[in-house]
Amino acid sequence: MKKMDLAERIAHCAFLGREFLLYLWWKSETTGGTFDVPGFGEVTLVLEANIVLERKVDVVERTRLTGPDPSSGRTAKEALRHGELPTRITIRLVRDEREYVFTLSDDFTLRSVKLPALLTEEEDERLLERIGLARDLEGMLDALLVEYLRARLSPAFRTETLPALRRFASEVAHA
Amino acid sequence: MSEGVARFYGTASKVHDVLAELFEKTFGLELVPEGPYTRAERVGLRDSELDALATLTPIVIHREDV
Repeated sequence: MKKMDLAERIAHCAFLGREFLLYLWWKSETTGGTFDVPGFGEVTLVLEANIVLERKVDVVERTRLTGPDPSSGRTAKEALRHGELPTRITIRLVRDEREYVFTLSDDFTLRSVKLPALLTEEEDERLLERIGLARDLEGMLDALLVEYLRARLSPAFRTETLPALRRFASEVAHA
Repeated sequence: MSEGVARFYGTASKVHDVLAELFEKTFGLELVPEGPYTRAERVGLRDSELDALATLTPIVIHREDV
C-alpha cells in the first residue's frame, strides 16, 4: 500500500477529532466526571451549555444543542444513534479547585476560553500565570488525546471501548 | 518557536488564509493547520503509532451497525 504523505495523513485522520470529543463526553458521564489525567492528577470534566453534533456524508447533518445540560438529554443521544458525532463541545474542567471553561472543536480549535482566576497581582507575573494556565490546559487535553489514541490503537478498543461507546449511545435512547 | 507551533487566536477562516500567506512570505515557512494527526505527532506518539493511526477507519456508533 502506498504510504500517505503528511497532507494525506492529516486529511485521513480528521475523524479522530470527533471521536476524541465523543470519548471525553463518554468518559465524563461514565466516571461521574472525575478521573485522573496522566501527569496532572485528578480533574473533574463535565460538558457544559453547548454541543454540536454532525454527520458528514453527502451533506452535513447538524444537531446543535444548548441549555444547562445538553449532553444528557434524549436529543443528544438520538443524534449519536443517527450517526452524528460531536464536532464542538463546551467543557468545564476543574483541577486543584481552579476552573477552566472552554469550547473544543474536532480540529482542536479552542474557543471562548475562560481561565481560572489569577492568583498573582503583579502585571508581568499575571501574564506569565495566564500563559502557564493556558499551557496547563493544552497539556491536559494533550494527555487525554494520547490516552484516547493509544486506547484506539489497542486491540481492546474493538472488544471493550467501542461496545461501551455504543452502550452509552443506546442508553440515551432510554433516558 | 522551539515547539514548531504558531498559535493564532482567531477563528475566521478568511483571516487564517491571510495569516498563512503572510507567514509564508515573511518566514519562508508553510503553516500546517492543527488537527488530530498534527497534534498526535507533537504529543509524543511513536512513529509506529502514527503509521497505525493512518490506517484507522472511523468508528460507527449508530444502530445499523450494532
